[in-house]
Amino acid sequence: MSTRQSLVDRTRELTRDSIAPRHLVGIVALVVLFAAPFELDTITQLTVISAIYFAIFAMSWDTVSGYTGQFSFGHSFLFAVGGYTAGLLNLGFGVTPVVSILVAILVTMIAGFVFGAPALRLSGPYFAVVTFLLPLVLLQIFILKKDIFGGTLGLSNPQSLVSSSEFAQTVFLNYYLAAIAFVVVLAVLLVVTRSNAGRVFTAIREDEVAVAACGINPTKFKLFAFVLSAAVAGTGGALYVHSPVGQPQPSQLLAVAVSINVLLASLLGGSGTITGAAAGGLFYYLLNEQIRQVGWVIPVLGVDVSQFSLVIFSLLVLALVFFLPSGILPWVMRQGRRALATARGGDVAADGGEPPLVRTYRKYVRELRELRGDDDE
Amino acid sequence: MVLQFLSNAIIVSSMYALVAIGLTLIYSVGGVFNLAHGVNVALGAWLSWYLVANLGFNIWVGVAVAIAVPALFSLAIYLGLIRHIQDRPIIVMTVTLLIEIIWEYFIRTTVGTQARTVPQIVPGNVNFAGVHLLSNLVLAFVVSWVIIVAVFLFIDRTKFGKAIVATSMSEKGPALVGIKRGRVYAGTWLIAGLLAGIAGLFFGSYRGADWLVGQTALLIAFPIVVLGGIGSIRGSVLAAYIIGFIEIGVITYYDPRMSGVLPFIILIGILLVRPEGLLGRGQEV
Repeated sequence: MSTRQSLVDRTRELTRDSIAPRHLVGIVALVVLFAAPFELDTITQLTVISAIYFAIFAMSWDTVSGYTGQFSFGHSFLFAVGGYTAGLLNLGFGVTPVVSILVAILVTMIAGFVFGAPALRLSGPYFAVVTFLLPLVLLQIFILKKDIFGGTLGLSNPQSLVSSSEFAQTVFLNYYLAAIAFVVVLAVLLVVTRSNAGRVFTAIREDEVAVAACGINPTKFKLFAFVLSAAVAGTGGALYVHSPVGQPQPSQLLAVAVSINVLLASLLGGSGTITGAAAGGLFYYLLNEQIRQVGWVIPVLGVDVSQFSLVIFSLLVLALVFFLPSGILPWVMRQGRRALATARGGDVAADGGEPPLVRTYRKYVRELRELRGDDDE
Repeated sequence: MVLQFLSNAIIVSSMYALVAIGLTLIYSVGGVFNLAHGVNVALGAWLSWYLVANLGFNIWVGVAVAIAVPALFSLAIYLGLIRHIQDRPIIVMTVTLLIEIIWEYFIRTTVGTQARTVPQIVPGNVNFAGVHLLSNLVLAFVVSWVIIVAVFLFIDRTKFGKAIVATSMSEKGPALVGIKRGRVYAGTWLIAGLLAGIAGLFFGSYRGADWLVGQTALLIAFPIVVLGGIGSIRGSVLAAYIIGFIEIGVITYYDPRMSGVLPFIILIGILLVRPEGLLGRGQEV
């Protein structure tokens, strides 16, 4: 009966209502991300920087493919346009990194528009085919114009955007640069996808004809998603080559494996969520590194397990497609909601884990029915 | 020179047609792209290398296995995986692409990145009107055309062939007259694997088998299928010749390095200008 007890209860109630547990987890994760460099050695920091850029690439993929359902099998095309533009400007023309990055983002957006506009008129498999081929064509051009693009070996390392006389400090600064870029991209994409535009994206994925029937132009929104995705890809690619971890090389930015890795990471995390791609990207990259380091040898074949990591992840995603098609993060959240509802002792998942829109809709339907019931009497 | 070019182009195009027919058959009936089609080609090439050049089996054992295994593999992929997800074309593409990736990495880690020579079924050369040709390639041409004609006859004359055409045209119609759709789908995957395996045998000895041989074949077959009109077998054969001639022409007269780019640029152009292809039915895309 003490007032203190009730105050605690009240606070708990308030926080429970204002901050959902999943948001709390997200905030804790971000705090950990920002506090981590104080605990990690320089080599690990470098790995995490790469992981962060990889997660940015995954978010870029998720914006167009996860949301609008237009699967891109060659998103590395956009990463490479961003990374190579920045690298070439810096190395060839001595442009300062800040300017080269901004120009690279712009060029990537233009490339996204120029190739996205015609490609997005094609639906489903055709769009996937075109996107699958774009990086292959670009790679062939790089090989043909070897003197400019450096062929299959790529270009040397451009200047770092932030650097210091000491290597450890440079890495430290670059870590924060990457982390800030990550948060900005995450925030922008969350805002866009949680707005009405995001709802239209999802609607396009579910039924494009229905969207068109509502008087909304699906192509316009798909193009918007694609150009937004290109902007993120360009940001990621340009920052990546201007960091100590990345170079404008096909193996890092353009290879088929890059596109596939990004796709796998997003599908693992849960496509069409942005947060799933962000978490999936970080998790995927770090796990990959971990696999590389343990150096297990596969018994029968006698080869290092690290060479098989892409195969392992491919198998994992194959299994996921069949058993958990929405991805890991949405599944975890569903389980969490159910557990939470049980813990609160209420009717198990009173709202059935439905989004607010659906809940509101149901409420209206219920009230409408009651009204009609009154009329009948 | 011109004769050499023409004969080369004619022979190579017929191999391409074999690969493309399987791809288009699966698409026309099931509405899905099989990106693992390259694995069938690669299986044909690698198995004949492994059995004949490595284990020293008779060449005909190699041929038999290199035809049978891809057919069964393709059927197994369909029955085991695709059957459950075929109403989601994008997921099918993702899954089949992953199968292709798994295969590529499997070869890369077990055999390496070096290309291997796939044994020829008939060794030696043929001289024909002053043109030097490998006997094996002449055989490839003959076999390819026998198969192409056989496929046409099969589709036009047999009950199963008619069921394939019916299934590609409508979903409910065939069901009404008692055609079992699942059986037709499985049949097309089996036939596609069979043709790809045979193509792989010849394609492997023509180009050499490396870890990317399947991807190479797939990337050639794609422009062909799209140019010919997805789902049209006649169109695929015609387009195989167009793409084959362009490719060999560029290699012979211009720059061999361009051979990898041109088909893709053509493909992207076609998709953007005329997505239904040359002989396609002009369906909504």
